[in-house]
Amino acid sequence: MTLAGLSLAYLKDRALNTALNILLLTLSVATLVILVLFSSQLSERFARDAQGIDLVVGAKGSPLQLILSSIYQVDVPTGNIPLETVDMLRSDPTVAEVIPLALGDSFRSYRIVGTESAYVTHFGGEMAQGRMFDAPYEAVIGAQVARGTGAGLGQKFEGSHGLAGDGHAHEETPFEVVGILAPTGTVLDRLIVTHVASIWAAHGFGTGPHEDHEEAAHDDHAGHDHEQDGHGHADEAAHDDEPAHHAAGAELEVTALLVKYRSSLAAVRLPSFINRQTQLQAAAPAVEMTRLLSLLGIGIDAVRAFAVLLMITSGLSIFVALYSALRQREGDMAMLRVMGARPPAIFGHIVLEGVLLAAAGAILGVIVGHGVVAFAAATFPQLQDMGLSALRFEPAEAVIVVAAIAMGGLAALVPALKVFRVDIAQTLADTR
Amino acid sequence: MTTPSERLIEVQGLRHEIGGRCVMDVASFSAGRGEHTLLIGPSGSGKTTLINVITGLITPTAGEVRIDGQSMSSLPPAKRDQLRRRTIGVVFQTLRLISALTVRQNLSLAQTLALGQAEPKVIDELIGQVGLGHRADAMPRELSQGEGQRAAIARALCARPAIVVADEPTSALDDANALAMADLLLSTAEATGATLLIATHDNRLRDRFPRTLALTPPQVAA
Repeated sequence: MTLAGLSLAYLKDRALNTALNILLLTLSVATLVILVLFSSQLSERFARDAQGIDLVVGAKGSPLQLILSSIYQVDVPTGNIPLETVDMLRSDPTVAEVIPLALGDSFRSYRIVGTESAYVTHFGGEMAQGRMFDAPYEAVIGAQVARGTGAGLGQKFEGSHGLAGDGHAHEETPFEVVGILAPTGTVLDRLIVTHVASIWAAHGFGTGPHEDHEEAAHDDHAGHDHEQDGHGHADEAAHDDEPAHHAAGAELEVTALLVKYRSSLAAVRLPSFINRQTQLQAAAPAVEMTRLLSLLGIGIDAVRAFAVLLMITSGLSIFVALYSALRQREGDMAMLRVMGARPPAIFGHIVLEGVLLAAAGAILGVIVGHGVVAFAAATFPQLQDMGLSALRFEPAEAVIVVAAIAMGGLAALVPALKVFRVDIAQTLADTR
Repeated sequence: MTTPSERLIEVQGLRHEIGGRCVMDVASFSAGRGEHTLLIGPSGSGKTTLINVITGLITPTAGEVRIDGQSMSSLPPAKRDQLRRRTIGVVFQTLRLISALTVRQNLSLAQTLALGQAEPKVIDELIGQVGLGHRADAMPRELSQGEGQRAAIARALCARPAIVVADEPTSALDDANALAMADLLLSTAEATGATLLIATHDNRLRDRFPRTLALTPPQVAA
């Protein structure tokens, strides 16, 4: 039996007190760990999805909504914009790339994105099976969609109006899965990607599957194909769930454009130029996401402050527990000195008691934190969509664990320092 | 007569005052290796103070205590602790068993502190010797007074100290238990060859000890 063993024995001897202190610290550490996992993975996911996109152009409305709906596919779009905007931007020498998006339909809550193959390339999408779409009604599905729907190559499905998957189905225009993407860890994993012309055709601006196959295959620039064909693309900005839809006779439209700059000059000139257009707005993902994260940050900071408060409370609780326990154990301390234990050794044994308590709470807190994240990810598909993983460990967690253990040691410090002031003979006389 | 080298405990002109009041006054006293001595005197005669000075827990106002030839009061605290750890085992009236440890663990801790490591075989032998073989894994709160006394004696002896001191080890016991306790201390000290020094006001023990040192309360100046 060593003094370290004695520390454990004392903790075991007052099991209820020890368990309550560990529980308190576990709760605070778990809260902090959950916050770290959420905020770091959320920010990372946001950054990964927005990588390489300098500007998003869409219909006027909330710029944050435009970013969320166009890049992260988590909000309803602001409306539609004329297809000629694509040409206008592509002809700008400061613009390197423009990717059009037509949104508004879904299949079993997985969003259908009408776009070009460049969209898949942008997110580093590679085919796990099959090939890239090259005709209307051909679709390529993300890895998560394939997993979630069980769809394979050649599978036919009907898209439905709206983004929740509960709108009326486009029964006459079934999509066919021609490719399944390998996981990318981006928004692409949970999307059904098809040619932009598919969306127009599904809403009555094409005459059916494969009719304009040739055009789409020959030119990925959907706007040209359909303008020449005279297909109309409705503007139903008022019907937020279906912005790519359009009224009969209207011009072809898309929902948003993802823009990549060729030169930094574009960042200075282009947003203000676009925002001057009556129907258009330009939103910079970096700016909007910083705004969103700072808004989220207020909530995160509040929970973090609560968790830190909880940790300080548990530190105080450890202090009170050790302080009162050591008052009861003054006779034991004196006896240890009689048996020849040096004051620094007894001091270390008391500090170790606080450290052991804190270490147990910290380790359990990390386990509980990851467990809660795993449970949340399994229970809420939106969190899984965000790519939230309980199996990832963040460096900040090590900081939390070290801080919790240091706090346990600190809480034990004051009671432990008493050992240097103890008058053994007097204590033995007083505590008969 | 013991020779200087055999004198394990030597006390010379020892006096201790608390708040200007003398609480112990012992002119001289010595105990040889393996010798068993009863320090007897009424309350206030300075028995516990003498035990505390001999064990180095307090420094006397005047005089000197030498343990195995080393002056206890002149040693720095760390050396004093080391000397006590290696040389002296103490039994208190209130037992002072560590409440969170079993009997076996109490002995193991005492042995680890004194020798640097526990010797389970020695511990088990000693526990058997004091008749606690069946109670080795009991917590102190589960022991009777007599069992606790025996556990405390076993702990004092487990590091094979050269000196065992006991402060009022029988004051709370009835006649039969008091004598049994004294016999146990004597027999175990005999078995290990330890010098035994018992401070008590219990006259029942007088007959058991070949050597008695009577202490009287220090004179208060008029």
